[in-house]
Amino acid sequence: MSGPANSPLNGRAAAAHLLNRAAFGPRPGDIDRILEVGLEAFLQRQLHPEPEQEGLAAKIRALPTVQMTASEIVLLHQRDRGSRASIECPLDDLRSAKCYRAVESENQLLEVMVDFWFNHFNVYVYAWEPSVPEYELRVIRPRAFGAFKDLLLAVAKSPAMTYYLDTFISKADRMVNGQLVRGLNENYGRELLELHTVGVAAGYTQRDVVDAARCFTGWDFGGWHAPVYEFRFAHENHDDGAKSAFGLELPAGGGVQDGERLIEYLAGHPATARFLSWRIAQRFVADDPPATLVEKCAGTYLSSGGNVASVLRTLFASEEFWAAPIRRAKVKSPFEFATSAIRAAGGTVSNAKPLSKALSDMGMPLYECKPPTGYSNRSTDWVNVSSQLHRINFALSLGSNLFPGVAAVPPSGGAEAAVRKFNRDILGAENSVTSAKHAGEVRDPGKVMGLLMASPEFQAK
Amino acid sequence: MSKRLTRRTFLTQAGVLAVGLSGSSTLLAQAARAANGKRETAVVFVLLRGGVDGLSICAPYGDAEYYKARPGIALPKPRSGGRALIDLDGYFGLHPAFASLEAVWREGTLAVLHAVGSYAMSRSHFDAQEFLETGTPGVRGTTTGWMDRCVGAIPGSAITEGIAFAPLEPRAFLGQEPVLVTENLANFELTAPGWRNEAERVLRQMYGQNNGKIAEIGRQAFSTLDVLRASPALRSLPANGARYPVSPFGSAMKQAAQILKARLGTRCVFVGHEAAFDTHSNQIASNEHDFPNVADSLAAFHRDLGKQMDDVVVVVASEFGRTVEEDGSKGTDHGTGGTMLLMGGPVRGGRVAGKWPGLAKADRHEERDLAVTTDFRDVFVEILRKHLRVENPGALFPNHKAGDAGVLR
Repeated sequence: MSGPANSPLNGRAAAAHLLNRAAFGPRPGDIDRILEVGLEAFLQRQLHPEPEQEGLAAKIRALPTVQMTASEIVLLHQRDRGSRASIECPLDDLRSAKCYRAVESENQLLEVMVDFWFNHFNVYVYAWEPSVPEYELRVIRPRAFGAFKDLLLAVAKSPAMTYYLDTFISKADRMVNGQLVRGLNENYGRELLELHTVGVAAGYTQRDVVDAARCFTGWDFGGWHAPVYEFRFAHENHDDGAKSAFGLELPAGGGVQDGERLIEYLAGHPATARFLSWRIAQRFVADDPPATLVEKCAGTYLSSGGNVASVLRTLFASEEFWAAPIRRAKVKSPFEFATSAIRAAGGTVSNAKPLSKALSDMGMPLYECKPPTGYSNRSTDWVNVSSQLHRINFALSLGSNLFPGVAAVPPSGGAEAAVRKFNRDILGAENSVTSAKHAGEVRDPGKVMGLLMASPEFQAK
Repeated sequence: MSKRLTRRTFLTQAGVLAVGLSGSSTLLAQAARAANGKRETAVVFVLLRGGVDGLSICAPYGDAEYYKARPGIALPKPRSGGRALIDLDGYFGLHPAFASLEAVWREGTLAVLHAVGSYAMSRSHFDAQEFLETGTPGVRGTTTGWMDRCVGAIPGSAITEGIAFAPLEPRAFLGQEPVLVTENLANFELTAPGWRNEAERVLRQMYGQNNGKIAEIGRQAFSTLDVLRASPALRSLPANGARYPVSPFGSAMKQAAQILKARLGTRCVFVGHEAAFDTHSNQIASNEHDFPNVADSLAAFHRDLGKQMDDVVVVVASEFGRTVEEDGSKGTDHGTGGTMLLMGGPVRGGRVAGKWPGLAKADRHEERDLAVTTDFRDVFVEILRKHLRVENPGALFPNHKAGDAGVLR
């Protein structure tokens, strides 16, 4: 890796930069640990996730619906009909697992990428709540670092996506008694092109959208009465005519292969390579990522068969990622801010409900993004006066260890030691940041930590 | 240009200058008091995100093509029993869930504008919302929103001049002008039990002495605190027996009314509303579920403001209309020409405004969507010129030869 070695960032700053971008921020001691093993070794380890540590795994096992399929959750609901607890379970469990993992998991980059891909292939939790846990756990999580085409296909066939973007009710248009009866629903066909693969600027037409949608007619999850909700190709609903979608010609009679071939074609398209590289670079590097970096990543994407880990390696090895102006140039999203604050405070989450409420106040209710677009990766979109006030309130409460459901560890020693440790171990700063001077005027170390987490410097990553 | 910088600089420095002063004597509290009671006009821009089906809000039941194109989802003609349309003019009918607005229509201060939009719009939600909010159809990445440019062109320095009731800053307010973004004014307060004054003093110093976007927004947050703490009128109850639906949209409209009634120099209000408007399937049920909240919140706002509606224009818009024909799932897909609702004393109401293009295939855009006969920018320009008294408002919409849409008196 050429990047960090030639970077203008010194050791601590470089480690903090990497932990802010490839992880949910440093915990006390992380910077020293990473400097000891080396940044490259850390990245290698992150690209090869290990089984979750037992403490975290046990916490997640205690969340009943996280492991369940859509069918199992629906059955559970039918069994304890009327039990409010079980009806609210899937979303609460999902949020808990997400917060536990972001704060505690040693597989930090995996958690960042699961968050990234879920958002890229966003579904709204209240569209069909029981389908979402398996969507994250079984569709996205195992494919976060693999070939993009596998992820794209698994998403296309998932009950969550076939429901959310209406593929399950999209059927061939038919003539009945000389009258055209519409069956097609173009929702998924459009978003597949616009959001999932080539991007809105790729130059596709309305005709491409319609023919893309036709490819997926008959793709469903088995129907509401199926014993298990899983992908089914209902040939009787499929439009078997010839199709032409964004340059791919498909002869008549393709059946289920129409959709599979289109997905393979789109996943390998240079426009997809560029669009995904741009989105990944926007998430990890800068709101307006350097074109040179996007080109490098897109090159790797195409030469590696769309391998996500390879693209990430290219990104983290690039001089663009390690350039001095990139550091602290992005604002953390509310989720990144809150989890990085808990990590900075050496904290753990035991009840994610109050945290979820705080994230909603900051403008980012987890799993509740309604449109398929997902939440913005452009960090300035998260900055506004009331969100900022809610961030400050959260930080002050956490620093004093008063935030419900989260245990923080107030720094040992006095106020001065708290300032010094935060500077060195969390911000990775050589010199004291501007806010430290003022925070140090307060004598209580927990309050000092709260003020530093509320500071402008800590909002940036 | 210099005026814009002045307002911004004034606001962001005021939050710092207030350090150490008692809350009631800050510059901003003085500015708020100066604005207090002064009669000003305001625009409330309501964005229904998702692409609402305007042909279901106000259906052309007199057009035979309407029933041909939508055999499964067309609404029954007026007086045909059940959930039938409310007749407006013998040709158009209001969705029955909009019943609470019928009286406003009859009073003559509510208009429907059909076939509004732009051909440079896109059938992408994201693009079309961006184009509508920036006021630059066809141009991606415009760095300012039309409401930001409007606030910049209006004299005044209150932080409450531009307000968005939304979880995040909408692109309509993208740009340099400070804007108060909030979902709930009531919880806009610093909480640090037992040491709030101390925490606030330190935080004001921290944010005062840092550079960059976050520090600036933090300074604006403290300025906002100064204004809100000095304005008890913000907690006024709805007037005239108005009852808002208990919903995020109802709450947003109630707060919009509160801040307008408090007369804090507010000129541009944005209210975002996201419901299941993207009706690709089962549209009848979705609309029945979501429309009452929209209509009843608007009706409550109208009743609440009472006589003050003479100073207010509410524009309800969506990023695009939907296909004329229903799709294969008793829904409609993304279309082009859309629908606006305009409400307020200055509105030439009680009519369906604009040129109706018709629903016949040959009259549609690309044989598919309702055509566009009014450019949405002309509506904004007319409101800016006649209502907000902005000089040369056409200049705020580059590369557009602006005309009036004919929606105001």
